[in-house]
Amino acid sequence: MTNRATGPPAASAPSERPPRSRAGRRRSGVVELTLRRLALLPAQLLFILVLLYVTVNVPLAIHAGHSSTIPGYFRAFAVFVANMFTGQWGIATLGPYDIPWSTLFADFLPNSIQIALFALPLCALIAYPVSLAVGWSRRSSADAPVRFGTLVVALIPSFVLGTWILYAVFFGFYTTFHDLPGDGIIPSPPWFDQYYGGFPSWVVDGWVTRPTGLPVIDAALHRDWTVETITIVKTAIQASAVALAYLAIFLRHGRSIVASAKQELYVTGSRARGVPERTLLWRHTARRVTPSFLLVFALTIPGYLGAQFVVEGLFSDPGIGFITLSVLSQADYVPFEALVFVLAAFVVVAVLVIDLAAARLDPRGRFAR
Amino acid sequence: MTSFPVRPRSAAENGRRRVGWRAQWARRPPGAELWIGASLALVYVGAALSALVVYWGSWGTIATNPAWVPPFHPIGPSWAHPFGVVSGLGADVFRAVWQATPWDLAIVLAILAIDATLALSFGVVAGLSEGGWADALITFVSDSIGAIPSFFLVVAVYAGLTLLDPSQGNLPLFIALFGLLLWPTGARTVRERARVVAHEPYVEAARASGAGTAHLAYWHVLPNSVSPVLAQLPVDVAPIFFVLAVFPWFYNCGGGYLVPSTLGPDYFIPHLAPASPLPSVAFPEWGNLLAIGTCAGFSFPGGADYWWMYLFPLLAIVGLGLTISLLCDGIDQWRRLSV
Repeated sequence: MTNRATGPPAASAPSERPPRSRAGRRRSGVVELTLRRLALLPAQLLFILVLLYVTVNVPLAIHAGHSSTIPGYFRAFAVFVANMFTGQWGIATLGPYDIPWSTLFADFLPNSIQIALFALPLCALIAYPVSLAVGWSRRSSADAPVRFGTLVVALIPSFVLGTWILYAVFFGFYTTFHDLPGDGIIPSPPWFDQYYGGFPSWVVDGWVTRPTGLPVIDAALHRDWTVETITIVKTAIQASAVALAYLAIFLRHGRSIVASAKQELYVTGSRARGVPERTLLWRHTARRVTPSFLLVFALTIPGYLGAQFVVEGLFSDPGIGFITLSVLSQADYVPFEALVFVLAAFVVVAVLVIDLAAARLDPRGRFAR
Repeated sequence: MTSFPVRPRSAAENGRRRVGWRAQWARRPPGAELWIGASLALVYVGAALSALVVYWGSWGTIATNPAWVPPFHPIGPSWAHPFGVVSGLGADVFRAVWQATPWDLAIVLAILAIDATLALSFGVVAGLSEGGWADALITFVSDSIGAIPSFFLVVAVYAGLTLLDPSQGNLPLFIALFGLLLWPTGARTVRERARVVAHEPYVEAARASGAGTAHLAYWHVLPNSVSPVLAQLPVDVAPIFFVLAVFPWFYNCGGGYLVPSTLGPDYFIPHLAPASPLPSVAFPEWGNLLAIGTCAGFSFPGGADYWWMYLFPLLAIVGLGLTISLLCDGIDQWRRLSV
């Protein structure tokens, strides 16, 4: 209640007065949100570890016949948390590899990053204009095909999509590079075997390239243009499979965001003032929906990872996805707990960063209101 | 202070007559989407019921023929085998897909029922108590669970819990876990909707006339927050089949060296992956059939594409997803028009 004589009590206190400028209000909103989210971060990670411990470690202990007391379980949980954070995840039992899991993850990570570096820009290049064009379309006849088309593609598991793409481009690839698939569909070590009768000096253990770990960069640094071409073609095929699977997830959201942005009053006002449709769409609305697109990406990171992991598995590519599917298929417990933990931490941090970027990019000043 | 009645008067007490679904139907008949969806659903239910009768007593195992196992004499679609034969497993695809219909309908509908119930309940509670401890708790849990890819979490938790009951294939546990871990996305969207509904004038009016939180949640906010769940359900079908298909596929042919065949490199014999929710590799389930069909149907580098081995299970999956989508969209449109 506002008292006419004294004024609103909250606003009169100098310490609680909100910053006067629009930029100041916006900044304080972002800082408050960031601090709240940062405070929740350890709690979220701990929650995930508790979930894993209760559903995996405790049944494992009971199954192995280790009866323990409640304090014993708490002590074991403390050790489990410490091991997760310090990277003590045991020795790998994946195929022929006999090194610590943490080393194997670190060795396999660059290949996953390489695919993501190809796939994410490809996704953005297609998803951004297509979502805008489809969401803006006035024809309702365009709506149903997009809605059902994206649903159909989303329902086809990504290994089937990937196999189709691989199949469509495989024979051209095979004829050009005379690659002989051995134990996977196109595993990377046989390429080196094929061309060198063994591994070049900059490939360690058959899968880690030196010095950077990213095959695209390392092959260029060593001026090995055959391996460079093969790597680029292979990664482009993988990226297109990932992009196809992920776009089906993204476009459903992207289209509805643009459709609702189209209804906003400023669009009607600008149109009434004679602003051309093209400017309204590609300048005004494109900027307006960017933060929302980023937020949708943040929420669908798990879906994206699923698509990329399967494509890595399909190509027997030495990446994190390949390890993930291998350990899950073999019901190998300790590494998949570590993988769940690392991935969850990555997603939580990525969502936070994307939220902040979205707040920064929003032309309407979301936190000013 | 004036005391208000705890329970607001019902529509009948107020002298109004509740409009039944017959009257609504007469006033606004359902649109084409709902009709097509319902027809397709009838086809699926008919196929499931007839399969239960035809395969009485052998519901859980596909009949296989050892003569069809080798991949070198692929049997394509014919009058004897309308959908062809999947080599490796050595099964008639038409009979296998038909036999799998009741299982898959049960799996998908049970998971979606748990998912929808939890998403609606938690979403409405969080939306109504915006800023309160219930909202904070539900948002925290849904954000934490939502940070992990659902396929990943379900398989990890299932593999752990199934150790307590090591008998191979615990489908009810798998269904319960999937439903319990799939709700966060739906709950988030329901919460956003419920927040808006909670400030609508009719809710304020009900609150002012003495309605309790439970009454508001059940009679006002819940019925008006169903749309986000109906939009989310068709999307949630994809991860179910993804999990059911991707692990048998990867275990059998994705990793290459995981299951070496003793009969030779071109001899594909499917195996059941460890911690699989299915009791055997010959269990009638579309995801399992799709995985085996993809492994057996593509031959690298020979270039053979035995499309019938994977196409028909895939069509069954996509058809079910589309049916659920048409039904949900149709129901949502009809509800809006009726209101």
